[in-house]
Amino acid sequence: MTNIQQQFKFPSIYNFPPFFTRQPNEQTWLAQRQKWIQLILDYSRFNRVWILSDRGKILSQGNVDEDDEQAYSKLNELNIQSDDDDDDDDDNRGIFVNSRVDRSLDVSTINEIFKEMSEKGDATYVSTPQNKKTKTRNFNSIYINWNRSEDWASMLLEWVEKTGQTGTVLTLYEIANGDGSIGQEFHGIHPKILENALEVLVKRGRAQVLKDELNRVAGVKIQ
Amino acid sequence: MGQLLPYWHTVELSGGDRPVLREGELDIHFENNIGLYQGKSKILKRQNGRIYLTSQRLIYIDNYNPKDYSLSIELMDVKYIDYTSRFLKSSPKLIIFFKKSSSSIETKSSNNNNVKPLIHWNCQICSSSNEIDINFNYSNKDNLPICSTCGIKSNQELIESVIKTSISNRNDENNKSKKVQIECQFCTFLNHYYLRNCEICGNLLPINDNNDNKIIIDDRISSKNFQLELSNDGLDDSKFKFIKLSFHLKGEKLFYEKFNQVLEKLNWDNLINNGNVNKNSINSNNNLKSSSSSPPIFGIHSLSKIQDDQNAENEAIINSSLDDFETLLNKANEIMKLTNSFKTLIPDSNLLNQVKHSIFDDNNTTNIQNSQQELSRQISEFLLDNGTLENQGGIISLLDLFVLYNRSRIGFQLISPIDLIESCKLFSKLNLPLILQKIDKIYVIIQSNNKYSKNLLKNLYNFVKIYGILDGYNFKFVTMLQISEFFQWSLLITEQILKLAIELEFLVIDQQISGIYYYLNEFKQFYDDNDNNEIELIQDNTNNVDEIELVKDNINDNNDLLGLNFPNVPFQTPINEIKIDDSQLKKSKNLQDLEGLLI
Repeated sequence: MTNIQQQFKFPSIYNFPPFFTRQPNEQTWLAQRQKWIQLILDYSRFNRVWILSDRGKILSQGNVDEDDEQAYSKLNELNIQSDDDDDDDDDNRGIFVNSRVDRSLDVSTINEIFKEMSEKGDATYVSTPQNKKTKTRNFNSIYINWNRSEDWASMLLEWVEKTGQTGTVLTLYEIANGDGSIGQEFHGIHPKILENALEVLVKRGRAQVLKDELNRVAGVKIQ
Repeated sequence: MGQLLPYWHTVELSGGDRPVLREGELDIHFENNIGLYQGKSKILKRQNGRIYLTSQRLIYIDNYNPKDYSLSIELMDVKYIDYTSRFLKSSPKLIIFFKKSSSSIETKSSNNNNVKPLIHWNCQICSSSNEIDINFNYSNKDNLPICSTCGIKSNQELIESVIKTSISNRNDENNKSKKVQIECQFCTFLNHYYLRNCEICGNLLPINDNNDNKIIIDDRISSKNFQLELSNDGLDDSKFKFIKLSFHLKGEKLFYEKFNQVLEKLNWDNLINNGNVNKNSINSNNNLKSSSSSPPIFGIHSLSKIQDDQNAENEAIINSSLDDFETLLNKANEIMKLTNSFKTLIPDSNLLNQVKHSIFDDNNTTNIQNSQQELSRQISEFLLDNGTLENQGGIISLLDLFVLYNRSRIGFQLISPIDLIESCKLFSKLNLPLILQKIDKIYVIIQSNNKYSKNLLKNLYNFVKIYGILDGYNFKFVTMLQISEFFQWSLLITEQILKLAIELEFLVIDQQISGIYYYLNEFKQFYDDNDNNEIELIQDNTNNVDEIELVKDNINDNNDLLGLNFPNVPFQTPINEIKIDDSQLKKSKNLQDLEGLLI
């Protein structure tokens, strides 16, 4: 995670100080928001970031090989952690802080950007399960759809058809972390994003989702 | 083209198209919508103007072309005025008759040619003085002049020498008289002989040949400039020289009254100036005395009688003066009572202080429009003539103007905000070089020919582009203070202009604890990664604001655009050069705040 920022080449606007101030003019703000969204998407695709908090913390990244429950618990864990080191997390605020020009983006502004992303389908809010014991703060975190669910869905379909697995039941783990999907873009995909993609297929009538007794998606049959 | 009367003079105009008054000259009355007539004929192109009545002149200012078409006449030349009321379609007119002074000058000058001046020669026999025509032909020996006393003919040599010396003397005299200076009767300053008013105190100078001749000279010059076009030449018919003022609207009666008052006062002043008033009174007294005095008595009796008379006279003088003094005191007390009684009626005692005479006293005459137009001119005069607007960077907020203007009136005749804004709205209508504009939420007045204020945003844009402080990544920024200092705008106006610039997507802000920094809007440019878009963006905005005229060349070559050199700031550091000059650091504290940028 440390060498990520060195790898990703930020656009020149990232060094433009007003980029980190919410512009009072609506038109300018619109342009500014679009640039931010573009930056977040590019950055996330480059680093395979699945979940991003409004504190700039990357909550899920790379190949996710835990199952749902593990992912959620990790998420909570991270939330608690970020609660603790809220004060000195400037360095950890990643994309929203540019220490080179000594500028950072407001949390409220970030949330405005998140809202716009979610409205446009570029992101989905993470519905954090309420943990009563730890009184988890309801962070605004988002799944970043650097590929839209529709795109993921067509990728899945193509892969299933190509590999001749049409009609067979596949577990989510098999799709995301199985040996068969190595080399595919969706290898290591976050389970939640995978679910969203499968939902698209279900709506199109190309897939049937099998659920376990806890009403979680256990497997899928893609036709 | 008709014959031109010699009474017309040119007028010096102020920045607000109002006449420049002489020292000691006072505004007395003002009327709009006036047409001029000379004799019975219209003067073309002088049919819509304003008339200012001052204590010394009657000034016509044309509404269309004030610079070229304005005229004035000296009240001194006016003999009397008459008034004809409205008749069917013809407007009420004021007829101004002139004294014959300058026509008499014409005849005088012609007399100079016709009537041959006489010179003196002394008879060689009886040495009595005889007169002879200067053009006398002394070559004819038979026709030599004869001495009127002894009847003996003079000889040829004598006459010849007398005539020659007298001619040369006359030339000398002419040269001398031209250099004679005129002493002012009031301040004793010696004025140039062509002047009609004293240079120091502005009082009228005694008329002499030189400054009277000057009228003719002056008018010959000015008549070339004027080129009055008359509708027809009605001048020859009339015995008297006169012009007419045609009042297209109303106000003629009051103007007539005022004019008469002024003329009376002027005549009275003239009498006093010439010392006629007192002289006459003394003379009449003396005459009375001499007539009433009994036939002369001689001896001691007469001496004592004279003494008694003197005592009685002194007593009478003292008594009468004391009586006068007492009555004056009584009157003063009455007046004090009267003013006190008024004070209860008028809550604001300041109203009583409004003594200073001005055009705006005449509430009964001035329709509001006239006074507003006049106020509008006065304001522009105020802003332009004293360089007030120049000092404010060519732009001033209405609020500041209100304060400045009312303060300059020193407590008299304060204008109301409504009057101010209404009269400022008339700027464009009256062709004054000022623009009333609304920037964001405040009204400002802009000098239309000021190099900075005309294209506010364009200049602001270029200012940032050229003189903005370079940060570590080749972005330029400015602070409000810098702009305010450079353009000499007040902070209030700077703030509003910046707001406008942000509103129109020219600038973006970088809000930090240390302040707000203004950058050029780079978002659009980065969005498309296309330089042309920036220009298009700006050109699109021209629909909103007229003053933005950015041409592509201007952006590329903006150093020439403002025609300015800003000595301390290096121009356009290369993109890769991140280092910032020390001088630049010193120049702005803001950079020190951003020191972290310097890698």
